[in-house]
Amino acid sequence: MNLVDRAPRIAACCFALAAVAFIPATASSQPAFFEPTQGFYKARGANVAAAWRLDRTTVRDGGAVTATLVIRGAVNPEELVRPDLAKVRDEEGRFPFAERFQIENVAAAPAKPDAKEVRFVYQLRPRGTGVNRLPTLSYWYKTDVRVGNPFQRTRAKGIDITVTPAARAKPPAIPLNEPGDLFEIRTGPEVLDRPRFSVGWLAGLALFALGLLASGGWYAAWRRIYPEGARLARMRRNRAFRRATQAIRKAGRSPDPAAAMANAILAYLRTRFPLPPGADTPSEVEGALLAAGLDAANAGRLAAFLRACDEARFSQVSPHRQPQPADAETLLASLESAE
Amino acid sequence: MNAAILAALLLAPSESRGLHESDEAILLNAEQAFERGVNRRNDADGARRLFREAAAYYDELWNRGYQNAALAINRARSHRLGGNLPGAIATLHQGLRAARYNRALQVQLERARSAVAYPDEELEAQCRAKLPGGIGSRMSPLEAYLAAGFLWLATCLAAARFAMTRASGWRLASGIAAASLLLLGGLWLQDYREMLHEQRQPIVIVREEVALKSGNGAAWPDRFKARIPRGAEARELSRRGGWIHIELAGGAIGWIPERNAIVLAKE
Repeated sequence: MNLVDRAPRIAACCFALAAVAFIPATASSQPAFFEPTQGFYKARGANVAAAWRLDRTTVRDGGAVTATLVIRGAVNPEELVRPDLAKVRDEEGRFPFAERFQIENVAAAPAKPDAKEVRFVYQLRPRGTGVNRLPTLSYWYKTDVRVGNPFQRTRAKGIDITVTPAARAKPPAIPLNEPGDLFEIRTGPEVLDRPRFSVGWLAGLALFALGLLASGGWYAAWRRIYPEGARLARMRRNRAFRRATQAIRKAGRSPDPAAAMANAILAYLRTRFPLPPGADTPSEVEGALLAAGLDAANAGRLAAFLRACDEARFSQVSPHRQPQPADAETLLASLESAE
Repeated sequence: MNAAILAALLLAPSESRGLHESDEAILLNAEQAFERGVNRRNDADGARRLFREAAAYYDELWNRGYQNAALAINRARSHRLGGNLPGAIATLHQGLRAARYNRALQVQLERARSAVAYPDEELEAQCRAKLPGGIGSRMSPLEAYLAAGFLWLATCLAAARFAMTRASGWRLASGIAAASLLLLGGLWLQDYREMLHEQRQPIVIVREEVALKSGNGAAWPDRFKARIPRGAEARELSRRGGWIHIELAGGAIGWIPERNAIVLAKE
């Protein structure tokens, strides 16, 4: 048999050899039968458990929580693959983790072959205040069962979280714009002072009585000290007498006091008594007064005073012999009382 | 049983600040709060809180009977710095009731009135109240009492002296003193009658900006285009259905809701 006759046989053998070589190669890259399409992360063991751990369950919007996926019971901890939460889908085909969180893997040291548990740490940043739960993660593992489906599923149960609104940025402090004197207060005992004084009817009555008592008491004392005082006061109501005494008091300020006093007395006498017009000299005045019925003593004293005034006017007399206003007033007063 | 109920009522906690604190302790708290507010004057919000706290302490002292000009001024300043201008004006009016003659209170009231933000001149002319005149705002009761006493004494003593001397000068002096006394009495009587008239119409202070209505209801038209600002003063004429009938200083009348007003109680 030549080579041409053997060619189909040779080709078939080559094809068979290639197929035998290819099948195992491809077979090793194909998933095992029953292996789930997702959720299997190479874990093997009789009873593998998965659980979520969170560092906190309340986070402010914009913050992050640290989630740790803890796998226990795997016989091959060094082979476990970190679940890619961003690609995890649920039964409805949605991405429960990616929709809720920004996911960041936190690198950690690889697990040792004899490790009891394996931890995969994630930094999860909620996408809003509506996020209220870390979803449950389905975790498949392979058992040593030879008959039937060797793959079992466990779940890392979800955990409720609370996302609070982000803190508002504090506005800058604004100074209080008010007049400066308002920032001062009164201190001291005056602040705790109760109003004490009030004008009641009693206070008014006391004041009224005080005035009456003071004036009445003064008048009574004056009457006691000066018994003739009242009588003299009545006398001062006489106009002629009043004028004469006023003129006599003013005489001290006049250039010729003696003349002023003499004129004042003469004016009074002419008002009170019917003196003749020409009676100017002391003697004439005395005679006229006696004729008018005045007693001799008073007439004599008046004439003597008028003579003293004339003497003071027309001759040099010593100061102690000058006629005095008080004497003139006393003369007039005695005349009034004699009336 | 009745005694137990009464005891329970007396011992029940009160909402007033510092019910069980002494007067001195309350005053100290007020002064400390005020001082802290002054130290924080660069932060308006924080400072206002402290001033409001001081105002509450000072109000407690006022309610306990310490109604004097110094405390009234402290109250007013605390309220005003706490952002409560209407409250400050109200406390100044209360202070002037206790001491009408106190010049410092009168000045403070005028300044507080100046701080009221009127939107236009027409409204300001209508609302701007004037300080009460009269002799009571210039002379304290003690001064009046002493002046009356002096004049009465002068009248009586001058009359007594006239009786002694019959000199017309003393009669004139007694007459002048008596006339002065009558004049003083007349001025006080007039002041008293004005005070009675004011008491029949309590003071109303606008708490929050509000429109002056023509009637006692929101559906009534406004009297003015602008709203009456907080701190404006008026007099109460009557009340009806939760509304107060008021008269402004310029004579305009209208209605505002009770909730927008601080009404000073009659004396």
